[in-house]
Amino acid sequence: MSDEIDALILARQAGALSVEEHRRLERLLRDDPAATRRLAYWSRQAVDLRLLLGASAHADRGRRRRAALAAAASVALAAAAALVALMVWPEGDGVTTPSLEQVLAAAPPAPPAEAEPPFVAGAALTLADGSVITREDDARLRRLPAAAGDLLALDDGRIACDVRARAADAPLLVRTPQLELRVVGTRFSVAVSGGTTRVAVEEGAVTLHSARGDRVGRVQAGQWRSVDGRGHDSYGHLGDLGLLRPWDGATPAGSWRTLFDASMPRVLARMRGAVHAEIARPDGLLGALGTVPSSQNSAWSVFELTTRRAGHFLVHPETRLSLVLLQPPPAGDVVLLVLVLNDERGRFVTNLFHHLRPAGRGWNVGGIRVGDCFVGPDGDRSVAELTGMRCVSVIGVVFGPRSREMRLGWLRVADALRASL
Amino acid sequence: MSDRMPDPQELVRFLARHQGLMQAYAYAIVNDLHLMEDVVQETSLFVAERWAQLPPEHAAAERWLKGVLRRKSLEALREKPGDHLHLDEAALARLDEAFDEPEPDRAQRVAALRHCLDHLAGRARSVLEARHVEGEGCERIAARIGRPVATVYTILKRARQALADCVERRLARAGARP
Repeated sequence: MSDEIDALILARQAGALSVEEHRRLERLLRDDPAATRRLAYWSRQAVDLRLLLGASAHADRGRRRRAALAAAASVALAAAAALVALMVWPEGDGVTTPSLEQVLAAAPPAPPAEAEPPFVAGAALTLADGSVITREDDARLRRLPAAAGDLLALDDGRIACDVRARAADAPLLVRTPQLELRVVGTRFSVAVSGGTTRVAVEEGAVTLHSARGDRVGRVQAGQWRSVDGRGHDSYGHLGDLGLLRPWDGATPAGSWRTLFDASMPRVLARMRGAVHAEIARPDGLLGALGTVPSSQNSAWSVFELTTRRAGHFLVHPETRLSLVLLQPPPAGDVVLLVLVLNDERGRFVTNLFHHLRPAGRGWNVGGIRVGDCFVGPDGDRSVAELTGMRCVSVIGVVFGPRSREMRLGWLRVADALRASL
Repeated sequence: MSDRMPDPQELVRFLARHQGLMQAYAYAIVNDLHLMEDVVQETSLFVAERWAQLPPEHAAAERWLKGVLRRKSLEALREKPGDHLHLDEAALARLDEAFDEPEPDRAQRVAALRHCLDHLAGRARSVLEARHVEGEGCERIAARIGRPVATVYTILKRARQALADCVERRLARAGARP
């Protein structure tokens, strides 16, 4: 009997159960307490496998990713430096690295914190059926008259669309210089840049047509497709673009690590379609910055940084993080900043948490002192012990339960961690 | 919405302590690892928002949490497109009882599984990764490795049973030590 129970449960978890076998398993679960105990057992094993295999798989992918980014960084160094200069918020109360100062010196003067361009104003467009189109600050989006449905023209930049189910004869059309997208209910993003349109679909599917109206294809959930003006077409699974994840599956220090190990692969998988900046600093720091809307009503803003070569950051409790939120979190939200620190071998060191209380100068949450963060409940080190700790990567998550599109502008890396390369 | 916000440390501690239970319980219902993560995330948010409603007593808090997980899991299944085979109410009630039983030696069990996984290599490991990390369907895995889908099922089943046997042997050895 127990062999049969195990076989049925494992077949169910492999997606190989017939209707008859499902009915049989259901009967066993109703009538035999041993069957439900086995289902609990195999379910625990399945989620543990996801956790343990996920950590090592992401480490492998991170190594490949770093190699690819290193090559790209050498070509795009000048552009990346300008990007970083624009994104890093200058402030006088922290520690800055010389290399960053060099970058800042070449950049235009940064505006004061109050002048942070608000993301909300004019950025979110709600259509009559409740569909929400959110555009990035610099996206050029126009609404055009349409005989049926809605018609948007995206000339440049990126938009994220959460489109309610609608009739096939009243679709949402998104027109770019290269493509026309027809949508009858899905979540996806479109980016137009450098003569290329890239579509990434999170849920549902999007039909693509050429500018002449010919059907180009269909992008399904979990896929991206990129088309340039000359008709060059590339596509792939969003999972192919692994982000940096340098730890190697070494022993977790506590259950908070377990919590984040379990959730981060999924978060990062979503982030792949939502990265709004990749960072390649002249001093060897690489990273990515993105906003990850959840399935319903929350968002994870995620950033990740790592060193390109055999370098490290030095953490000091007196250093400060300056965080720029591009949208205010809703009143009463609990917003946690989580820093996941890994050591030189990519092994987990500890998590640091800070309860963010945005106040004062716009949404610039300035001056969070590392020493004021708290270590996770099962962390094995105090913050003070981290002084001088060498870390090769930092993953940060800002977690707001009701913040659908809260965006993390930038964490002042230079104030938080000193690069020592 | 509750009238008091949770203390972040308290909330983190509660979610961390129940993470394993939340994931396994939700997965047992929805039978989809990606969907399980959505359910756990939604449940975590719900807990944060309804913190004041959380019963102070441990067993009651776990019952409350499982109730939320079950409701969120069923909601997620309803929203999932396509035809799916769901467990009926009676089976779910029994499942609830199974998860009332505490999991013995949780930390040792995970450590043992990690050790056993270190000895799993080759095709079995890559198939397990594809299924359990990437969430790939067995048909797709089969197409990628150029083997019949039945072979993928067999690889998955044998690998998981071998890991389970390895974990039990390792725990038994550890328990036998003075």
